[in-house]
Amino acid sequence: MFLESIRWRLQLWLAFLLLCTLSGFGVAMFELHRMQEFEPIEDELQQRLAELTRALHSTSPRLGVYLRSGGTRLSEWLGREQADLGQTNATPELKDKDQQKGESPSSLRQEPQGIEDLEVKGFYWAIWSRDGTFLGRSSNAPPNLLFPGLAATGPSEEAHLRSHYYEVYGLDPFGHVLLVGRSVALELKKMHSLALWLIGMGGAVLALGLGGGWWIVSGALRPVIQISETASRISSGNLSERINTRGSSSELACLAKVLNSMFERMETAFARQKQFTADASHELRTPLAIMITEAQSVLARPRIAAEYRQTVEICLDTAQQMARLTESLLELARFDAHQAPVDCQPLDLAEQAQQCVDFIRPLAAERGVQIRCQLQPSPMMGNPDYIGRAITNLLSNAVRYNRVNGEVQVTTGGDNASVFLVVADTGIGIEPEELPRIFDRFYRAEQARNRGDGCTGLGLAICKAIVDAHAGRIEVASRPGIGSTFTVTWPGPPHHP
Amino acid sequence: MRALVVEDEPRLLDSLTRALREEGYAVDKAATGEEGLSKTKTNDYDVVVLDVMLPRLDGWQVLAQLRQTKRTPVLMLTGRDTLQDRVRGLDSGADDYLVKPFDLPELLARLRVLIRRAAGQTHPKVVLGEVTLDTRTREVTRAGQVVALTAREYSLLEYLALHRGAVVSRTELFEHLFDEHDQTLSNLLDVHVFSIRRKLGHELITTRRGQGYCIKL
Repeated sequence: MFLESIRWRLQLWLAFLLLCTLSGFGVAMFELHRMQEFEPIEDELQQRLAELTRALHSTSPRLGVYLRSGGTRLSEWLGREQADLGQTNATPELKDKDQQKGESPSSLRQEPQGIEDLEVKGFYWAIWSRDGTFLGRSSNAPPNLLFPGLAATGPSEEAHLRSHYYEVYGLDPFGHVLLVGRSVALELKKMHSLALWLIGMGGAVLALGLGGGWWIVSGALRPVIQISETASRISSGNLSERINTRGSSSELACLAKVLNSMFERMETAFARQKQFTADASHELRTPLAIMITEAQSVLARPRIAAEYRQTVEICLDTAQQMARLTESLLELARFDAHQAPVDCQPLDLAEQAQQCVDFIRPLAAERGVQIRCQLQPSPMMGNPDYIGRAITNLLSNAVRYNRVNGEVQVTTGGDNASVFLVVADTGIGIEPEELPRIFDRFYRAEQARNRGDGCTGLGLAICKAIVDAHAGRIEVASRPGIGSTFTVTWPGPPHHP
Repeated sequence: MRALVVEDEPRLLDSLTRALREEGYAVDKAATGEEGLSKTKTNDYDVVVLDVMLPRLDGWQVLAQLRQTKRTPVLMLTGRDTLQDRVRGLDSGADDYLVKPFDLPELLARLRVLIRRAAGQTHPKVVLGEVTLDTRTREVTRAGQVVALTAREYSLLEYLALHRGAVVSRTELFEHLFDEHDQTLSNLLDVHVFSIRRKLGHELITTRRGQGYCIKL
């Protein structure tokens, strides 16, 4: 439905407003013109009416007498007058003033001066008695003259436009209804063409306005369309696409920037997810490849028992590595989905650390690494299993990547606000450029990779997930060849006043 | 045939090496991309098995650098199996592409195809007069009778047969039959050639004095 389109709604509103403005303006202009056109006419007609009154009653007292005596037909009277004068002209006609003056100066002497003047100037007149009896009219009056009716019986003068005649009427002092009018065909024609012109101009302005409106709305909507097109391309899979925000600082550019940064984050998240999936599939496929290769290789021909044994050992070892990897992946997945039950309970970090140190000591002894502890009681809230796992991961890294006869220093402590655990080793250390990535899943520092003895590359990632789940923070400082220090900080126990 | 396996997972590297050796290949190992690249530059391998996911210099980079100088057939091994990965693998100059976990017989068959193709041979059976080599089973028959050859003898015969018509120098033969750790003396070649001639007839392998050996077309 096109009414739901912003463009069409704006367009309709614009059309409505333009139409209102234009018609208001047009009507006002037309009225103004009409007043300018007809007011002088009305003034003049009133003047003529007064002249007529004057002419009939003062310059021609005989008419006054005739009328006052009860004569009803002015033409009769006029005819009588003319007959008296032996004049051929039965009624006054519209003639050239000079010609008429030249032709019959004697008749004009007898006729009311004003009346003759009126006709010459294109005015016509008519007289009725108060009760509507027609008394007389000029010869140039239109045939369908109408008695002005009751309105004319009032004291004031009135004007009206009838067909293309403009007429003014009023009562004379003797109670006759006098009407003076003239044809305004010319003026009406002018008004008519003015109206046409106004309509034409209005239409043109309307068309121009709507066209301009369309253009402006299109311009304003173009960025929106661009944004939606780009967004749909992105949603259909092309994540590297961005909305072009160049050379624009409008509100939409602001929106585009917000969207772009959202797309940026989405792309990063997708890339990370993709990388993780690729890494995970690689990590899971490689041990499978080992087992299949080993098994197919050993089955290809008859072997001695020792060869079978070796293959089975390799397969077992590989399967155990896969089991560890699968376990780690599942654990991370649970943390990702916030499904890992954290079940916080009060615990002593020092106690946990001690248990983990005891657990790791055999491995340390095997590698000739000494573990020193400096454990201050540090109460906190946490899940002992997870906290223990995190500490064990850190400790086993510290032992595994240590030098022979190296040391691991484990420290716990804290105040009311927070508790900390520090695991410092004298191991191979981590290159500065690798530091930001060591908590990434499957990331293994070069040095660690070369010692690849069954580690999954997920240990520190799990540590971080556990620490994060307990609202803690894990940090690392390291100097290659000298050692690494991992510092974990957790909030202390809640206060019970 | 001499092969190089580049794989960073030590156990898979060992398994593959062992399996290929049992198939009569002289196998060199490389645990990193750099090591693999330098070995391909110093030696002429008949085929390279290259893992994609290697630390630092990954399989694609090794392949790209190798392709600048050599046309050694390369089979890429990878844990990725998306369409883009496969297409990329074949587009970037790899001769074949196998996704982990793979079947060992399939890997071996693909390696044989690569070696045959590089030698301009398409059929797995090579017929040299009355002597026939089946590269699939590594079996040699003479006039329909199976002749038992040692692994070395077979490898030597196969190499000469695949490069039929060309004179193969003793150095080249040595390079393609023994891996980097083999301490065998090169005059052992003469012993193998003598033995092959005894079993398959004297006219099969011709000696070009001072140049090497040749199996005529």
